[in-house]
Amino acid sequence: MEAAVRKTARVGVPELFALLALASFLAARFLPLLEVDLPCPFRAATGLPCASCGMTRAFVHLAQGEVRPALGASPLGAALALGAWVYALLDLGRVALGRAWPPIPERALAAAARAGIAAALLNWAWLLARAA
Amino acid sequence: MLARCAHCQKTFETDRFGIQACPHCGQQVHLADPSAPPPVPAPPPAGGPAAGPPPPPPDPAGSAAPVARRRELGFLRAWLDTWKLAALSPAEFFRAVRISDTGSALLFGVTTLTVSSWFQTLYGALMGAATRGVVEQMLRQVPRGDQIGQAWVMRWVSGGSALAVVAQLFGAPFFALAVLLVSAALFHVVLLALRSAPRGFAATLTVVGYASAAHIIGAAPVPLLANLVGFVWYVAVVAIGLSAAQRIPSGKGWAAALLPFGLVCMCCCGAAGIPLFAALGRH
Repeated sequence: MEAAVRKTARVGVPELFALLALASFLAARFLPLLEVDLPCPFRAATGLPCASCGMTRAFVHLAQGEVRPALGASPLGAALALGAWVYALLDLGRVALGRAWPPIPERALAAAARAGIAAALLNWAWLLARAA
Repeated sequence: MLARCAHCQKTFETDRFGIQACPHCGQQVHLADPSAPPPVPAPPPAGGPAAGPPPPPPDPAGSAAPVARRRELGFLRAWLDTWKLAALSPAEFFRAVRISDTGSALLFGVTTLTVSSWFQTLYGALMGAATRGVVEQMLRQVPRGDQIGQAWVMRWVSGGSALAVVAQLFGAPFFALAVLLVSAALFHVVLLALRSAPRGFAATLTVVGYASAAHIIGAAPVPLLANLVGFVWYVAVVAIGLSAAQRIPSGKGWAAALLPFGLVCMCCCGAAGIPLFAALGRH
C-alpha cells in the first residue's frame, strides 16, 4: 500500500527537497550572502576550518557561474550545489510530466551514502591542508 | 498494570486483560493476555444471528500520532499529546507510530521549531542588552572568545534591528522546514551507510519531525543554555527514535544521531558548546 502511494503521489517530500534546492539557488544568486558577517565559531575558536567551511561561498560562486572560485572555496560545496540544482530541475520536470522516480536499489543508495561521507572527510582534509 | 491505548496513545491503569474501553477516548482496546494459550481457530461461520463480526486486526502500518488526528482532537490537544509521547516516552512512541504520514510529522516539527524560534526572537528583542552582558562574560573565559563575541552569536542572542526581528518571525516556519528536511537527510545518509534503514526515509523523517518536540525547551528565557539542553534532548530522542522506528540496534541509532553533528555540524556544536563549557569552567 505504502509503495503504491509513493508511486502515484506526484507532490510530496521529494518536491519539498526540490523546492529547498531551488530556494538555495535563488538565495545564492540574488541575495548578498557573502556580505553577511557570519564567521565560523569553530574557525574562530581553533583557527582551523570546519568540515562545512566554504559551503556558502561555493554555492554563491557557482550560482554566479564562477566554477573555479566555487571549487576553490569548497569542492564538496560546489558538487553539492550542482547536484541539488540538477535534482531540483529533474524533479520539477518529473512532476510536470507526471512520471514516477525510477526505483533505486538499496545497495546503490548505501554505496552512494558511503561515498558521500568519504567525500565529506576528504573535503575537510583538503580544507585543513590548505589552511596549514 | 499499566496499559496504553492504541488509538489515543494515552496510558491507563487496569487490572484485567481482554477487550475494554479506554478511559481517555472511549475506544475499545484489546489487551492480550501474555500467559493465555494461543487462540483456537474459530469454526466457519454458521450464518446464525449470534455470529458477530471478527475483531479488527491490528494495523500493520502502526497507529496514528495524536497530531495526525488533530481535526478530531483539536490542534492544541493533539500537539500536547504528541509532545508528551515523543519527548517523554520516545521508544514506545516511535515503535508504534505510523511512518507513512510524514506530513503530520513535518507539521508538528515546523510548529514546534517555529514557536521556539519566535520566543527566542522576542526574548532577544526584549532583553538584548542584559543577555549580551551575560554571554560576553561567558565568552571572556574561553580562548579567542572575544573573536566569537564579535560574531553572529552576539547578534543572535541580543536581537537585531526591528526589521531583522520581523524577518526572523516571518521566516521562522520556512527555516524550520528547511532544518527538518536537511537534518533528516543527514541522519538518513548515515543510516544508509550503516545499512540500517530498512523502513526507508519516511521513518527517518517521521522521527526527526516528532523529535523536534525537545526543541520547545529553547523557548525558555535562558540564553544559550536552554538551546543546549534542547539540543542534547533532541539528539537523545532522535537516537532512540531512529532505533525504534527503523527497527535497528540502539548503537546504530546513536551512531546515526551523533555522526552528522561530528562530520558536518561542527559549527553549530561549537557555537552551542563553547559558552556552556566556559560557564561550567567558572564554577
